[in-house]
Amino acid sequence: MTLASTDSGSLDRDSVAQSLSAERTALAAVLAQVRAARAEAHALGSIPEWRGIAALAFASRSEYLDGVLVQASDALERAIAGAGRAIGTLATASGEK
Amino acid sequence: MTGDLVISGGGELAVSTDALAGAAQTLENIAEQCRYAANALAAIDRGVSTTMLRQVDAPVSAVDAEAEIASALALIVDAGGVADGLAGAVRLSATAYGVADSVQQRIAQDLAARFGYVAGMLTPMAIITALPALLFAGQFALVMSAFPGGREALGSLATAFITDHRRELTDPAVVSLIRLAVMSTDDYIAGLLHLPPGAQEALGDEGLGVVGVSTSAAFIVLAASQFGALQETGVAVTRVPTIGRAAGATKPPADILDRLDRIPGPEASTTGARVRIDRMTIPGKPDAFEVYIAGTSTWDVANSTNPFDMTSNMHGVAELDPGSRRAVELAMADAGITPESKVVFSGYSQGGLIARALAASGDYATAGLVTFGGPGGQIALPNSFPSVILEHTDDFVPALGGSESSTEAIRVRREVYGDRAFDNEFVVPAHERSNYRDTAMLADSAQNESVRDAIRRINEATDGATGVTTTSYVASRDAEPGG
Repeated sequence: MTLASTDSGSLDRDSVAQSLSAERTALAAVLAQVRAARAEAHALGSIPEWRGIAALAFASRSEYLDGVLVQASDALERAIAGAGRAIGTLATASGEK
Repeated sequence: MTGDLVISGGGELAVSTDALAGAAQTLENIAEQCRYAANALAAIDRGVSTTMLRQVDAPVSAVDAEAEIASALALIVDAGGVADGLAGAVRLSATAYGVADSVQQRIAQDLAARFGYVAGMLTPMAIITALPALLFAGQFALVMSAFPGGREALGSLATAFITDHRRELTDPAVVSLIRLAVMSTDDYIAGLLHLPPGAQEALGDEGLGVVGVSTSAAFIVLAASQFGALQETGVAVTRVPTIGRAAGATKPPADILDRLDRIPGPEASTTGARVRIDRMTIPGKPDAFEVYIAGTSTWDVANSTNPFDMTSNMHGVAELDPGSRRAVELAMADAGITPESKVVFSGYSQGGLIARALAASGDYATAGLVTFGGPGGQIALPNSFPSVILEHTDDFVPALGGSESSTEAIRVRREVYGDRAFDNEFVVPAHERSNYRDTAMLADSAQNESVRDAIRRINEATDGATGVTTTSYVASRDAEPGG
């Protein structure tokens, strides 16, 4: 997405708010995708084949993968929340203008 | 009901449990999802920059959000890389396991062969020591087998032995030992005959494979025939009504389970059917056939009236001309099967052995083979048709046919019991059809591509069929040997 600009070339706060809103929607879709991947990675941890010396390495890498996807989900949730707060602030400021 | 499936074959060394294959597939999906997510995030991140936010005096939370997006992007790229790497490692480990399994099997077979040879060399001394006891046991068995009641008593003794040792005989390690013992019988005989060790190694399973399980079984057949046992006879077949599972099928079998259900089973005991043939009408094409062959009916070694007996088992493993095979051939001819007809063979237990022998014979236009617990591992299979071999690692019956000789056949294995309690009504629990039904269901739902591809290719023979004509047959032996 691109930000709209005013006639004078400077960026408009409403346009930024709209862009952030679109960004938040897009982020929610990505978050859903990452959560689905995380659910699959988490399920891998419970299969009985992660046993034996070689498979223990798989188990630890599988747990790591699960952990990284959890962190990514958390970051995305924070990004969505941050965008939401920013949209609110920008809308308030725009209304005051 | 599981034991996980262990799948091998298809000309590859990889040995994969279906769960591992599924895990690798899942990891590849995760990697793919991560790539999509990373691309989407990169696109989002390009739209709103920190500079732009500062220009409009956007709140700190918006800047923080941008930082979180960058952080998430880095994490997702990392996760995608891990998932990709892990998927590759899982697939590689299946191959490595296959190589190790193959090497271990080869070493064990080689050691067993050497042990068998030495045991054979020493047997004369052992026989001299144990001669009185062996003579007594032999005479006892012969006298017993001369009378119908005696044969039943011997059968009861054998059944009692198997029942008493059910736990041991259902141990995968013991089953492996039985397989090794069967594979080294030829080496034992070579030692017994004092053949030079070099000749024994060159000709045996571990060398050229000129002699092996089949020659050992033929040796036993020859020896037993001197005492009136394991002697072949003429056979005949008679049409009987089809009863039991899928009796009124109007479509070709769709999968492995469907084929097992069409093999005459206990439900057919009232008619005694041992062979079922489905003739498929396919518009614009010659008719195709599916032949379903049942397992052993009687453990008789002499004077049997049913060719699905121990004599056929031994002659089958010896790759001779067992009565049950000739019975199936007669039934096939009666059903209209010619050398040009497309035929899919399915068989359970002895039926698996016969199905494999017929499929590999070159006498028919074989389009596929499916066996359940068949002791036919040493019968060489051509690569011209797809084969699926189902075996339980705790079922000693397939082990009696030696190790699997085909690298192309898809071999689906599973341990049925493990620590689980036995079904006490079964003499050989892991060989039970009900357990093979469970394995067939697992195989049909397997994620493994080799299995799916083999089923699809086997089904191609009867694709487009609009009608099914089913005929079942009961088989009988002539009264006198030699027929």
